[in-house]
Amino acid sequence: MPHDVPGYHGGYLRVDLTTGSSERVPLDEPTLRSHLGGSGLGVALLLREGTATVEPLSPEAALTFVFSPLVGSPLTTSAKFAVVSKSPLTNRINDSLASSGFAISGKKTGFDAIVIVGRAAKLSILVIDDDRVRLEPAADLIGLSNRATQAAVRERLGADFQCATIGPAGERLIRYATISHDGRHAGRGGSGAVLGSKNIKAIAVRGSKRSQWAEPEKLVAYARQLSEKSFGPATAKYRELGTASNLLTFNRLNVLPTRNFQQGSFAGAVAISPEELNVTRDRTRASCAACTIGCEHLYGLRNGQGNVRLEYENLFALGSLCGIDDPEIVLQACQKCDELGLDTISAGGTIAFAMECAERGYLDEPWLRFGEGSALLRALDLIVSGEGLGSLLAQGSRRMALEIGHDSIKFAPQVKGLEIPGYDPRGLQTMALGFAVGSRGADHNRSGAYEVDFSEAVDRRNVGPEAAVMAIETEDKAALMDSLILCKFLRGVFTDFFADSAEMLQLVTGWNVTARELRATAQHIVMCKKRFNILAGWTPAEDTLPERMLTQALPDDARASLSSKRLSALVKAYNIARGWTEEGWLKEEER
Amino acid sequence: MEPFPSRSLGTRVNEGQRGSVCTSLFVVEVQPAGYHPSQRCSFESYSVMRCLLMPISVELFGIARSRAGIGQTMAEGDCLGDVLVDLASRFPGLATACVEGRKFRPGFTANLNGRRFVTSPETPLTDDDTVLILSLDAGG
Repeated sequence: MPHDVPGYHGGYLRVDLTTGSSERVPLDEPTLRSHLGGSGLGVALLLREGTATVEPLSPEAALTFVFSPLVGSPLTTSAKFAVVSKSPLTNRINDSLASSGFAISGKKTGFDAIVIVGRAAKLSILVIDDDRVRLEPAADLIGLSNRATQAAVRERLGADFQCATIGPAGERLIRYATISHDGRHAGRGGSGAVLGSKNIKAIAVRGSKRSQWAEPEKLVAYARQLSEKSFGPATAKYRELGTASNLLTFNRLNVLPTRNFQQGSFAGAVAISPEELNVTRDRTRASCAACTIGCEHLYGLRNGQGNVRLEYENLFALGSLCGIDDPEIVLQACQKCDELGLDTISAGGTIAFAMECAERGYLDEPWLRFGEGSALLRALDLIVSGEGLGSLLAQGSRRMALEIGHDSIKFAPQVKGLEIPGYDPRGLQTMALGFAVGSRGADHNRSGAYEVDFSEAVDRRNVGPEAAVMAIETEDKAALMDSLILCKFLRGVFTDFFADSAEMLQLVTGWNVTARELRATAQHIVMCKKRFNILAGWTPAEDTLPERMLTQALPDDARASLSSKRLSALVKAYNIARGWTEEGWLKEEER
Repeated sequence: MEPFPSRSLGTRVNEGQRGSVCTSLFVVEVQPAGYHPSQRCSFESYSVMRCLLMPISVELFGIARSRAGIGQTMAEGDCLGDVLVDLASRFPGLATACVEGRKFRPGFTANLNGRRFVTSPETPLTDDDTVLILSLDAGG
């Protein structure tokens, strides 16, 4: 029986907001074992719901919040949940992950996932209190920031509720709106707009049902060892400096995207670097629930308006990519994105693209210039207000380029519509492959191929087809981590990630699972994402990079050049290694 | 980024004398206290002047930088392992976190001149080389 599988509750909650009904739907053991949880199970549920073929912001489109067998266990960094939907930015699969108490409380409601379809009649809070489900009016929350919304919901319902919310961006269906929980975001691809389209401002969860573990004593002992390892050197970067410490390294290697990818190094990098901020600003650290790494570094604003979480991706997107070298502006922009509920990478990428369009005269917006901090802040406000240029910016760089014309699509910094994160693909060419074939678009969380570029295995500026297998390995690891779920910042502590994962999963579920099986599971999950995308209209032409990346070397590093022909060879090698057709179609038996 | 300070750090080693008699002084270390990332290594801040047979420019990033307390230095050695030994002898914090004997501890790597990643202690170096010491993990 499904409910006999330790680590799971054996079913998901399906809520139809249009009819106001909800039901428990059982999940059988083969489904759980072949998709695990998180991203993997979320994709399976979306395929079951038929979401691939409907408009992502329509009532018919399902939005899933998915937990995992490891959530609620003592394993460090396991308090994570996945939000899986069809992206309104890319019209492809979108799985975003966030952390902390919502995952633990959500799973304690007694469900392995929450599937939401339909649309509430008016803006509401979806309350899931164990297996009791209700909608509460949220008229008083309209326009509130994420932080204010979460405070108001807990004030109303009680502090023992955990809630995931949208900010004004989600309410206004901005295509790169986030879902926020306790300062963390399911950030990419616009899941906040999907929740907004369902007229849900917040989901509040509280529960009392713990799932069982197959071997609790051994699990606790394993978890203790894992926690001890997590204090070691493999996580020191995250713990001591945070991800923002990438900035100066990438700048030195000329792979720091600058001024809409026109350059790979930024003269103002030192001014906005964490090394500088550590000297000049108050800094505090924070952790997600059940995490021993503590990667979050918060920096104080000069205007006394609180502390701001700073990650590398925020820093590059709202800093070098827009040519901003004033750390106060960058921090204010990060805070604004957090409160409005905007994905920082897409917001920064779209604004940087608009800045270049304005410089070229494609947009009559003389105020919008690289390096102008006030312009960045103004543009962020316009995105959410929808005034002036805002309605265009709110569409993301791909749709914006198609509207502007002038062949600006050639330098729109996106793949499949998702803005490119902070790794210049010309100087990190295994990552270029990862971006090109990524199921949700240009993405550093679903492919860790930059690890290959940061090794002796390849010449990062002249990568050949042999890199495809290595890129796949990082993609498979990510698929498994996102489905178990564990934080990727933990990956350095494992000696054999698939074997260690098998041991953890065995201790939780009792399954006699092996590293080999988990490799196959990871590949199956990647294939399910591909299947979703094919159903959604994917074609091989999407698996590429913007033309700028394929025709212009980085000006500060002439050897960092990637031709269309070479990228095509990489993609072909990837597809063959995946067991797909050369173009990337699934073979008959996998469809 | 420029390599080491353009200011002359001493008389040049005569090519014929490399490996034998040291005829020149090269500046090596910067005091950790007061170091600021926007500063280049200044001549005045060097605490020790050492005689080097093969001066290699070294740049440190991330944890390596924070543990050493400096962003740039020079080290001696004909190969990467020698450079790591030299650095470890002068920066105990760096040794504890990043270096074990002639090798990197797990999680660290080197890049030569911003181009090629290397980890083998036997990687040969020339005095034109700049060794970047980095965290292996570039996850953001």
